[in-house]
Parts: sequence; structure tokens; C-alpha cells
Amino acid sequence: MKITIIEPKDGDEDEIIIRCRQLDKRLLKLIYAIKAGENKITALQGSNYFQVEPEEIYYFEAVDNRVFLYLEKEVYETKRRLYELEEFFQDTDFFRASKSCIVNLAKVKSLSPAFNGRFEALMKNGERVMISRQYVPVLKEKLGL
Amino acid sequence: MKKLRDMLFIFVCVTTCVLFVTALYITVFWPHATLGVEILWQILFVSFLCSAVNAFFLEWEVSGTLLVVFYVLRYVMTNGIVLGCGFWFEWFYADNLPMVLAMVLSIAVVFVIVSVIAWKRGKQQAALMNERLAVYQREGQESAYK
Repeated sequence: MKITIIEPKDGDEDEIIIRCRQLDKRLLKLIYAIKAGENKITALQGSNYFQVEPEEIYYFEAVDNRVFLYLEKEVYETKRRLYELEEFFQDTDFFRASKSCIVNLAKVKSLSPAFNGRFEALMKNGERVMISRQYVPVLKEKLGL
Repeated sequence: MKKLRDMLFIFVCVTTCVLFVTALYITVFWPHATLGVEILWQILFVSFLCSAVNAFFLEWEVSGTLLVVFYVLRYVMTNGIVLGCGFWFEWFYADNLPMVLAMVLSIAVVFVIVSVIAWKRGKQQAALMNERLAVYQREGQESAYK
């Protein structure tokens, strides 16, 4: 694949143009990665604000009207609502796993069945997240099933 | 559509198991009985009610203690339906203890078999999803390094 970088004129916005015959899976992944890359999340820990890379996030969870993001070991809070994050990370590795959870599929180690048609995701950091029955089709579609 | 498919899956499992158990039950307790076509409709009716109750409980997203409570409730309601319909259709006599016990045991056996089948189905789906997950993550890594 040929990569050409053109410096924009003064005042012009940075822009990425993809010239291709068709959008294959590899290109889509690249687009997702670019989208995810520019979508840093502002997170709060105590009274300090941080910029978190989406690929570092394992999952988001809403608890008592507050939304937390879980990294490998750290937990941060974000002021964004869960539905906003769902829209924000549309067409990336993130998917809605339940009414209170959005999971990064790239950080899932394995999946196992749970009661009542639900599935449990074992994350790469050892944590377990429940995928509700309602959202299993979303996951299957993401996996191409 | 998925709800309908799930209910149909339960219905097929329940009906198949009920048919086997009924055959066994009739062989033991009513070996010389001449049965009419109504028994087939009765079996289908009972299977449908059991499937509907179980599908209804599957709709609830619960966890922990409530999940156990729901599971027990499903079992109790299934018992109620089968025993109630069985008594109404005169499959057994309420004062005949071996018959009642055989019915209760049959319900337990069908319940366990259907639960195991559902669990196995989940395991198969999980295995397939894990295969696809590995491919998904491998492709993700490859495109990141290209």
C-alpha cells in the first residue's frame, strides 16, 4: 500500500483521504484505529484530569449514574454518559455488553457461557464482565457470526 | 425473531423429552391402555406452556441470588403446570403415590436434560465465538503493524 503525506496549506484542516478500489476488512480496521486514535478520553482520578488512549481501556461501566473506565489496573471516572461513549466508539473495537457496560473486544481473553443465555467475558487483566443476553447478537455480529 | 427462535428451541427440547418420558410412563403405569389422539395434543399443550414459562423467565436479566430464585421459580412453575395439567387430563391419580412420584421425577429429569442441552449449546457458541475472537484480534494486530 502506498502512503503519501501532503502538508496542508496554512489554515487548512488536517485530513486523511483514503484512495482505494474497495473498503476491505484491513482498511476498515485501519479506519477504526485512526478513529480510535483521535478519540482520547478525558478521565478523572481524584481531582486530576488525564487523557486516556482508547486502546488502553478494558471496559466502561456505569454505576449509580457515574461512568468509570477500567484500564489494566487503574480505574478512572469520565463525565461522559454511557450512550455518548457508545456513539463515540461506534465502529471501533468497543461494543455494548449490557445496559451498564461497554467492552473493548481487543482486551477480551475468552468468552464462556453463563446462565440464561448470557456470556461472560474474561478480560486480559483477569476481570470478568457479563454480556447480557440482549447484547449477545451485537457481539456475534462484530465477530462476523 | 431471536426470542421466537429461542422459545422454539426450548419447545423442541421440552416436547422431545416429554415424549420420551411419556412413553416410559405409559409403559410402566398404563401398559394396556388404548390411547386416543388427544394425548398428542395434551403433550403439545403442556410442552407449549412449559416453554412459554421458561422463555418468560429467560427475558429477565438478573444475577446473583435473584438468578437462583428465578431458577427455582421456573422449576416450581414447571412442576405446577405439568402436575396441574396431568391431573386435569387424568394422566395420574392424586391418591396414587407412585404415580405422583413418577411424574415429579419425570419433570426433574426433563428439566435437567433441557438445562444441560441449553448449557451445551452455550458452550458450543462460546467455542465458536472464541475462535472468531482470536481471528478478530490477530487481524487487528496485523493491520496495526502494516
